[in-house]
Amino acid sequence: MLDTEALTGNETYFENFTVGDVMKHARGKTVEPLENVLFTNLTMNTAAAHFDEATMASAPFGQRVVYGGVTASLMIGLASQDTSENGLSELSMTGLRFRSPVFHGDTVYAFTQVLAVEGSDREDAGIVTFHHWGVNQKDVVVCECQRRVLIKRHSHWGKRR
Amino acid sequence: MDFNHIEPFASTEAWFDPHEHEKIGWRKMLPENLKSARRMKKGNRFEDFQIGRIFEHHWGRTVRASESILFSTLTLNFNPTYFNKCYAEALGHQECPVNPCFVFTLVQGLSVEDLSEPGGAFLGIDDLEYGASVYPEDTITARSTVKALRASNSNPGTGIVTWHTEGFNQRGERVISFMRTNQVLRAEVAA
Repeated sequence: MLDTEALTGNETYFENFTVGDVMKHARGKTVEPLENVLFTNLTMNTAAAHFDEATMASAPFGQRVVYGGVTASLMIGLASQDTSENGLSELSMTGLRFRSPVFHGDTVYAFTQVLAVEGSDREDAGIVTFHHWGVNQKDVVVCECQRRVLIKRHSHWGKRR
Repeated sequence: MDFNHIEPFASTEAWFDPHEHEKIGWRKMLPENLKSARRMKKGNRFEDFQIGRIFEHHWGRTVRASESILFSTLTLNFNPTYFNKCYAEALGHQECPVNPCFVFTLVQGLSVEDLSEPGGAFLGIDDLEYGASVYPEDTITARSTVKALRASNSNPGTGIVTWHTEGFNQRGERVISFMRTNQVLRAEVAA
């Protein structure tokens, strides 16, 4: 059997999360057509606002707008190593709001606050509720959400010492 | 659920005018026999939505392992469950489950033509719950029900609609459920 505890960080088990802790995640990512157009089209999203630059040139924004599903997924992705690297499953999400549009060339960074930690019906895992913010290169919040993840307990899954 | 606090960031103009290219004369270049072409309309307007109306969305989509891994890696989603098969097996999966963010993005994507294609700000998602895990080669379909309708305070050319959208696998098991709220163009603006 694979030595799973060797593959993920030792600081992202359920026991490591403290309510109120606020993190600025290390990495940002510049959103390109690579992410926006590729995933808009791969997920069958037919809204031209995300992939027809000529039509959008005459719209108020003057250019394509990044699909919110991509922005939200990138925000969660950027936060993932510090929040759900040891996650067993994604449970739910609510309060996802798009505060400002994201365009090609914008860079998204992620922040997270730990809102709650609670037990689950599994003794080897607990549930952590996070509030995530996606922020652009001008420090403008572009989206935010609350997300609940079932996370491994170190006592069951962590490195034995 | 109260969506009255949600207001779009969009300008007071419509999101975009689908006839703009005609006004600015691009069609002067069009071959004569194409100038009277029938416009193939897509999508619905605010007036098309009535509370309780159900949309069984088109197409469906079989998901491949490579798509989920591409999605996970390009969004920097570093939970090995989604890209390391051996790790996923150690957690009790037969193979890597599909990244739930991809499932969400796909189910919403399948709903776009019926719900929001003509444009209008995507305002938010609430009460999203994941159901059965999705695995590669599963086929996902989507269905939405109109839940709430209201005027937009900031943009009279649009209305605000909330739908309950659900995604299902090929066995009819629900894989995701969420409430989506969007600004939607009114017919008189889009016409």
